[in-house]
Amino acid sequence: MELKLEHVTKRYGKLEALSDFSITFETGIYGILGANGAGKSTMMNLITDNIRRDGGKILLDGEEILQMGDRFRQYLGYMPQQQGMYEHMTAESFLTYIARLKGIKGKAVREQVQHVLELANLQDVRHKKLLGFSGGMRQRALLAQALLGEPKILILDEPTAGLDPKERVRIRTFIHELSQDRIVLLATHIVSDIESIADQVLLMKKGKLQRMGTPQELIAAIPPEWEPVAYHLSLEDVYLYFLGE
Amino acid sequence: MGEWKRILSNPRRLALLLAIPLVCIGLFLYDCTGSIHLSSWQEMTEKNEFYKELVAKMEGLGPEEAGAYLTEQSDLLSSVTLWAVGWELEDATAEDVAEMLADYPDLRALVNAPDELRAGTRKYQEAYSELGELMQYLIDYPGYLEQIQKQAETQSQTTIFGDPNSFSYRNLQKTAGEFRSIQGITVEIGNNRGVESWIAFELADYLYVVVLIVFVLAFLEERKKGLWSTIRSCPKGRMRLGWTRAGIMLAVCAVYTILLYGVNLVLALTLEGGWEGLDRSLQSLMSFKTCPIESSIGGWIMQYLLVKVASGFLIGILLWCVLGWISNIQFSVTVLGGILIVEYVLFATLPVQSILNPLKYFNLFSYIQTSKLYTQYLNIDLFGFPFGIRTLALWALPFLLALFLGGALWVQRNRYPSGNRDWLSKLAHIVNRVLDVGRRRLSIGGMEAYKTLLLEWGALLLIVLYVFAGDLTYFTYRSESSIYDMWYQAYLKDAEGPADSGMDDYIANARALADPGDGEIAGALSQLEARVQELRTRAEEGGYDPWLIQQDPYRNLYGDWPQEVQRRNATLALLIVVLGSVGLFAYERQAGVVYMLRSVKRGRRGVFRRKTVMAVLMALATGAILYGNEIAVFLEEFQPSVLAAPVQNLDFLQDFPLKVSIGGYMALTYGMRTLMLVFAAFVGMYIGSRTNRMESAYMLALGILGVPALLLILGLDVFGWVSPVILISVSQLLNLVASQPIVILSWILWAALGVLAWFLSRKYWVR
Repeated sequence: MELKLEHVTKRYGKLEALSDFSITFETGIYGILGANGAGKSTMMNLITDNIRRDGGKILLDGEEILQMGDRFRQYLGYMPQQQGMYEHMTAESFLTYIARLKGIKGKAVREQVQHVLELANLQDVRHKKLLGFSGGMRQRALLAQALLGEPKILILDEPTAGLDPKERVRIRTFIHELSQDRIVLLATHIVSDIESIADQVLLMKKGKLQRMGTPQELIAAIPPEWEPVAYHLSLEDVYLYFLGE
Repeated sequence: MGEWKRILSNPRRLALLLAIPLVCIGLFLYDCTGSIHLSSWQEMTEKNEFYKELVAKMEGLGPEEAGAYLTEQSDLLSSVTLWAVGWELEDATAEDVAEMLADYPDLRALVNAPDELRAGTRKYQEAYSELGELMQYLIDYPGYLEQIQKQAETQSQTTIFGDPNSFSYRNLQKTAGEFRSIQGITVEIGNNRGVESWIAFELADYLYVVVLIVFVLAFLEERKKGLWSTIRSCPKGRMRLGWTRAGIMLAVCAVYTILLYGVNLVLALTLEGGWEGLDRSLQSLMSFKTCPIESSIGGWIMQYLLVKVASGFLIGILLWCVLGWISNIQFSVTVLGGILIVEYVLFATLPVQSILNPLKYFNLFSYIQTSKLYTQYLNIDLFGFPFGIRTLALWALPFLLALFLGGALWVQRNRYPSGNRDWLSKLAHIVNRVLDVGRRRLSIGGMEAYKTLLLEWGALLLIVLYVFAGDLTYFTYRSESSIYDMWYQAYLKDAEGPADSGMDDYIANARALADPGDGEIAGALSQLEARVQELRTRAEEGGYDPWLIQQDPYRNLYGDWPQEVQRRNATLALLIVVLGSVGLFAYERQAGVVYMLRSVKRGRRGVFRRKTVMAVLMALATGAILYGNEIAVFLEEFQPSVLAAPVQNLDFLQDFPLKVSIGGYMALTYGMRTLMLVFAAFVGMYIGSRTNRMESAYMLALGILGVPALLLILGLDVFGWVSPVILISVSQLLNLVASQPIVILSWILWAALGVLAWFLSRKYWVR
């Protein structure tokens, strides 16, 4: 499976949020790093066709995703950055609804809902309304809905924000396990999340791809005179060095 | 001051708090005039002026003399009315009648217009009847008080009521004792209209509760905003804040008692009269016949307003105490709804004689509808002893105030933001678990219906419509024919059907059966014959079959007479449909799930299709409720066989351009009206897709569609072009098609707007 962005451009008025952006994603985890306004969420929204692009193509195995429509979306699992959900629904009814919208049918709905509730460690609160969920629980519920339907392309915008370290490690490990036969795009500010699991790291700045490589390659590209943030060089140094922040 | 500022700094809350007194005044005026149309204001003023003059005249006379005058005037007008239809004073000329009406200059001008003359006497007859009833009450009242004493004496001697240890005996003695204290009072004539209509206006009580709820929710706002812990951590964030809030609640009760009750009282006394009679005894008002308080009307009003402040304060702190105890504000709102429903059901449905009647009267609603404590005299049985509902409620008031104020302050001081023992949440969890079994089985369409009906309040709107629709009028009771035409009308009803040769046979047969000396019957049959001939000529020219049909009932239901009624009903239908459909997209936007839904396989076209279905279903359900009631009225009034008659046989539709039957016309009318509701739902759906919050969507929809509709029913016809109300009103739609074909252009434009709104909504969601 190959997801290709070719010369994709997106403008908000005079601001160019994504500028002639090209990249090819294949199976594996892609960590996307960048400051606020770097274009990470814009890229994700373009891939999920939630905003209109101003130019370029997005192709899945050579076919334009806009033409694929629902066929493309059946491969997609998306966890947005905002914690929007139906607050007056229980976790179970919310996930059941999304499962049906994903085209899951019959017994599989219940099985998958049960499965993702367990993965997200929400089985004990499945009958609680989302309104009463803490930030971390909401984050897990959103992740759970993205995992429904076993999507081939998983787009996760800040998936571990608000989670405690134990939960973060658990989710990270789980994402890593998922990535065997999937494309996972993971945008985050938490550099350590990417460091341990990303196959490739994308460094974005002002709508452009600054650099891309494995964490090791990027760390190796830092000149020796750079003074590490901690005891040894890490992706945080990569972030600060390449993105100048 | 800071707490006041915080509460009033929320613009939506402030707008609501300012709007409530205005709504209260508007509804009170509507209650006084009985109509929303501007012309009714003048009618009401004229009626009130005459009534004031009449009362002033009666005040100078003794009760017997006044009663005789009212009877005399009423009889005079009855005779004139009967003269107008030829039943009385057959020999009197118009001049004679004009002379009889010397005191009624407006009626004198109408002596040559019988129908208008009859209609013109109504306002006088109403006043004579109302005042006559009052005079009789005033004459009888001393006897009524004596009767209570006698009854107590005689009944105490019977075996059933005579046991001194029984509730019945004690009740008789208590009642007699209380009414003995007012036996010497004087009941006097005066203008009671203002005070009586003020007391009867119960909506003010409910608006008062809404204000209290708004303030209680404002007190609990910090919980919703996640600031509870922070505020509790401040030095003045516990007890001090509690006292401040209690003070605010008391001030709010005082201010809104003035705004909701005081202002209406001033309006009532000014418009309907009664300022000058406030020093009379309270029992001079008929509503206070059973009130054993010795007081003047003015004195009672002051007492009542103070009780309103105190009872409002009690309700406010009670709600604050109970809702404050529940940590989750959303859950507390559900509990609030539950409390109000249970209390209202007990208050409204328990019979007076029920053994459970302490629950009926010792009830939250006794403190809401406080006037009933004074206008209803009732002793309830508590352990064999009679306790007056008013005494009980008013004596309990200070104790309850102390109890719930203490409770509210305790909750404010001691309730923790989290970690409380929360058995309500556990209960909610169990309930959700059961409900999830059902929700689990819902399809996408089922879930869309669930969202629309429950989460977006669609079901509530339809229930409100259903409740209101039962009380609405759909029909006017006007008639162009007079009592003089009764034979003609009777024959017309009997002969209703095709005006063919059978009709000629019917008339010939009726002539043969009629008494040859009865001129009225002969005249009626000639009138019928002429009518048949007229219909045949018209039908021949128009190329359809002539039918003899009663005209008035159709005109009263589908014609131009019930225009105001139809516009009001259409506005209600429009608002329900639009408010029910704005949430379809606004709710998704408010929940922040738009991108998530649009990223799943069936989240675009699939969801949009179902949202369209829900919009259509809302329109159909609204149409079914409203039109169902209308059709029920039709079925009570009309013979179904006439549905086959060409619609041009109805005089008011003789120029209707399509050759259809009355049944076809009705199908067309209902079809076009329902379609217009569907288009309105699409407009609502589009409005919702432009807003991020449900509240904004409601406000926008009310502004765009509600305001022009309201102005239209107020009588400003120009707004008919910017509101679809006319196109949802039956008479206004197809009757205008017959007389002003341009209205069809308006229908097409609104239909186009609806379709455009649907396309734009689709573009927004599906892309």
